[in-house]
Amino acid sequence: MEKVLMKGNEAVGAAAIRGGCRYFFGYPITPQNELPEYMSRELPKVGGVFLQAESEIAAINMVYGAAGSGARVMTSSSSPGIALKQEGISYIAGAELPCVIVNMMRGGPGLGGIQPGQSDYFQATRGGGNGDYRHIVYAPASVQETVDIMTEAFDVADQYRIPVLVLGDGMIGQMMEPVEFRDPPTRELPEKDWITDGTAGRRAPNIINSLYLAPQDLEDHNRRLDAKHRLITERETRWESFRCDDAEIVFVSYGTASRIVRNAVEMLREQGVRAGLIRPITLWPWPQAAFDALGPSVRALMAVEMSMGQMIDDVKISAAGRWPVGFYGRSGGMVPDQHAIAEAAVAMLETATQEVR
Amino acid sequence: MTSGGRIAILCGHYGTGKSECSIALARTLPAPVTLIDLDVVNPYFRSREARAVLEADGIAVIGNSLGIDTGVDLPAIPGSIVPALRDQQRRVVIDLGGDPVGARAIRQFRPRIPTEDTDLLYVVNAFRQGNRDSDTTVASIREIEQSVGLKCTGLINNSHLLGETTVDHVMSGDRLCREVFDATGLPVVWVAARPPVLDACRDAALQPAGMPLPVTGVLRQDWMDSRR
Repeated sequence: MEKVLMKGNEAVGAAAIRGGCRYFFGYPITPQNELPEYMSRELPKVGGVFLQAESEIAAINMVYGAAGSGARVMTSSSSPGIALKQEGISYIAGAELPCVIVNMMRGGPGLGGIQPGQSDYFQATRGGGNGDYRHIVYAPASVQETVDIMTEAFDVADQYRIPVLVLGDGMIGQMMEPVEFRDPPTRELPEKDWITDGTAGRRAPNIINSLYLAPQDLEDHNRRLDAKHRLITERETRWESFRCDDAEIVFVSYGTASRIVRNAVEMLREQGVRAGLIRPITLWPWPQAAFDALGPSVRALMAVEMSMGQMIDDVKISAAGRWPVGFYGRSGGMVPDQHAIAEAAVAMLETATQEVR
Repeated sequence: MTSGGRIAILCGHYGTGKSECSIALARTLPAPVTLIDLDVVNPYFRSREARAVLEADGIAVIGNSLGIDTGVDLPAIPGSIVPALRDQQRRVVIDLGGDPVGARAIRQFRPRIPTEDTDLLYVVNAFRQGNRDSDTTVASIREIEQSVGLKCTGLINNSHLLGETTVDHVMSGDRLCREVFDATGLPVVWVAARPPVLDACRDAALQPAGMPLPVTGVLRQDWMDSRR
């Protein structure tokens, strides 16, 4: 198929419909409004339903209901709107329902601003909801990658009966890039024999529920979920290692920030500094293996985020004391500059050298 | 057909490159020039964000009435637009928001816009959904004309895939624009592209319709178009 030029938000909508999404429930918020706008126009054309709910909380609970009846369903919002959805996400994870949630992050906390941010890392990977739950978090770095992930996300959700969060930011949502639509790899999907689509008097009713009052029942449920989380970690972890083979400093960065870091890596290489980049594509499951694969040339790691430092916690866990972990971040909607990133890396390498001496 | 109207209003399907073309056009016209950014539907990548570059070129920029160029998506349209429209010595470029809904912001100024001295230029990018064929493009033009309350006077062929653009993309856009011309009689006034692409068109002796308008991608940051 020929490439077309698309804005991230509308590309997400087009990819979702291609991925089989037929139901969208949401509430408007900048900078992702082009997505519900696109869905409101395009979903009815394919026999789908778009509904603007009265709130984000209503929307996520509509997702719960639609997913429980077997629909391919999604919602989208931006940071404070996703905060409102957290209770519903916990319920969806507890009831083991498949759905896709898109967060085009903006600066926070609270209402924050409308410019791009990456300060929902904790929210996305630790969850604002209660209980022992996890959900998959994809962090694409281009409109093309967003489209590829979005097309596949509904299959992934169905395969594991788990919410899938696609974590972009305002920049991914608002920027224009050339894209082509490709079919995702084929997955073996289990039959949806658990949905509440009417018994027609022929079978016992299915029940969608996250309530387990007997402690042993709930522990059994928690253990089942944990086994599922381990399976997903084993099978679905994704990352990209860029020029890490001989690197002395390895950046860790995702999404929009990683695009700029990649330029900083090239710039540093031209200056004779051997830099590399680990770019997690799934934030959960987290790519621990990328760190374990680093060679003896590595002297330092540096997390680069559009936040005051959130992913850096996972980088430190992965480093496990093997390397010092530095940080460079911009926040509030400010986008980092590759020169400043490169300078921070050079300064850190100098410090690391002094410490060795 | 003219590029000589005192006021040039750029309209089109969203994401076709109206802001970059508006910036390029403002830098091409003889001084004094004012660029009015009337986009109230788009939160990012608006022409007012190029204020520093434009003001250094002596071009006045009108954004919103709060004087904040980034980070607000309020329809705060300033009254200073009126004297700019009235100034007979001044060329004015108006950058509208995308689609009929974005174009509507100009409606309140319609009585102050002299039809005989104004070009309404429709920006075409053959690689955008809303310009995928001639019929869709003509329908989009008609909807925007309704919204603005003016008839379109010409086209800007801005067909591109950002950093991946080749002369073939420009010529695809040229074919589309010729079909639109056949259907509407609207001429291509400008052919917009990055300077290397315009040079490549010239070197290949390709002659897309329209005067060359060099677009430099002022609103794109350099990391955006790195080859991946």
